[in-house]
Amino acid sequence: MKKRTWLGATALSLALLAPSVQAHPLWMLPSEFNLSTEESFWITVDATAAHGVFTFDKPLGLDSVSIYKPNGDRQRMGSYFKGKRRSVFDLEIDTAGTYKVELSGQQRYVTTYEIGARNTSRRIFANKQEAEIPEGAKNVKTTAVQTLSAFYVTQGAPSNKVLEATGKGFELHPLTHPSDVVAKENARFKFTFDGEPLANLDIEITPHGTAWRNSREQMNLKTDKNGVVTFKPTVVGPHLLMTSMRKNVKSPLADAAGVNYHLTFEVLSQ
Amino acid sequence: MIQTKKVTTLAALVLISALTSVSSALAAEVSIEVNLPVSEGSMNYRPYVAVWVEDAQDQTVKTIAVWRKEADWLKDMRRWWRKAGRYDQGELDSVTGATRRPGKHEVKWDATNQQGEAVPAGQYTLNIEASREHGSRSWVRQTITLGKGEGNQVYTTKAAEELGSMTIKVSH
Repeated sequence: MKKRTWLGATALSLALLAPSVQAHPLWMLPSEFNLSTEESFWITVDATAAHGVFTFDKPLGLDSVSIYKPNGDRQRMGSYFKGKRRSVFDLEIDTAGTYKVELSGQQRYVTTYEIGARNTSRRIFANKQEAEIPEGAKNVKTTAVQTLSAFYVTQGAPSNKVLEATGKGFELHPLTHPSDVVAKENARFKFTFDGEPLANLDIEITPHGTAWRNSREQMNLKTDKNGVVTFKPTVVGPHLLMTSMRKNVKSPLADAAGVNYHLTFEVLSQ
Repeated sequence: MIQTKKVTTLAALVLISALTSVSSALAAEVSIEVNLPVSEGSMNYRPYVAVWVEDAQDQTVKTIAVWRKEADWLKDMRRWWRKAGRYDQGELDSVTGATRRPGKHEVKWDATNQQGEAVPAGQYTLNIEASREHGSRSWVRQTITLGKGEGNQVYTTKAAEELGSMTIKVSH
């Protein structure tokens, strides 16, 4: 993957992507998911780390956002802004097909352990080599965590180039295209890690508007043995899918690898 | 009309397609009186309207009419855009026209699919979707039966926000 140089990395963005906020959902919400425009058209995207779907809480560093055109080429974002509660960027859509926008945080290491008579939990943001573990520590475990957030926007008919599997890392396989999820119809997404199906993975899907209702109305789902989650949305509009994968790995730096994944998608009218 | 009750569905389909080249096996005509209500308020933009046909499995058979201005808002005819509009390869140019005034506008379907071939006898759904800037989106559908021994049919749809009550006539 090409390293972007046109936006400088900021310390704050790295801090926000650190495992300290791994439980903090981090999402992007575009102004449109599907377009019928025939000429170039700008969409605008909100990006924030917040538990509400979709309410703003903390801004994000946008230097880790990658935009892929329907043919797979990278594209620069337009104007961008970082406020106190959210970040915003514009994105020009000038090609028919499906674009992928991904916010990919740097992999961070977190080492957890328990210590003392009360087995107090502690953690250090360091890998297995660097973590200074005190004597007597128990259940020492290092996890390499990456945070991903993605959405897809389609002009005209949906296309699949940006959704092609690479067999590397955490991947979404669109058994149902993310631009073709319809209310009251079954939708199916498959998840893999390094090409292997992620069975029994917990998946949370929450419809927009949690700030204005009592129940969160979150669907708590699990993938089947093939890594496939099937769901039938009832509400139209933007939804947030969240999942957290942990997998033991053999590495001198970590005992486990983890990915926190967030997908924003639109449920279309029947 | 073909005695569909006495032959298998497959055989009927083969027979129908064999006959289409000679004369329309399904000599049906469907007339839809699209009713655009007068809108209240100061911003009375004309609605974008799509009229199309789906089969019994909700698969698109044919787009009959699209009344619109800028392409940007075609997506607001949400179901039509999702099921038909976004897959257009130019074949819809011939059914696309300007937006219409409030009132009744007759649209006809000759019981053919997008390729102009006669459709087999069976159940179909007529869909009328209207979306208005600074207004609402309405989607009205009516199931009809072509062939299968059914005679002429007349349906009246319920009024919706952007679509008044409409009369749909099927004549064989």
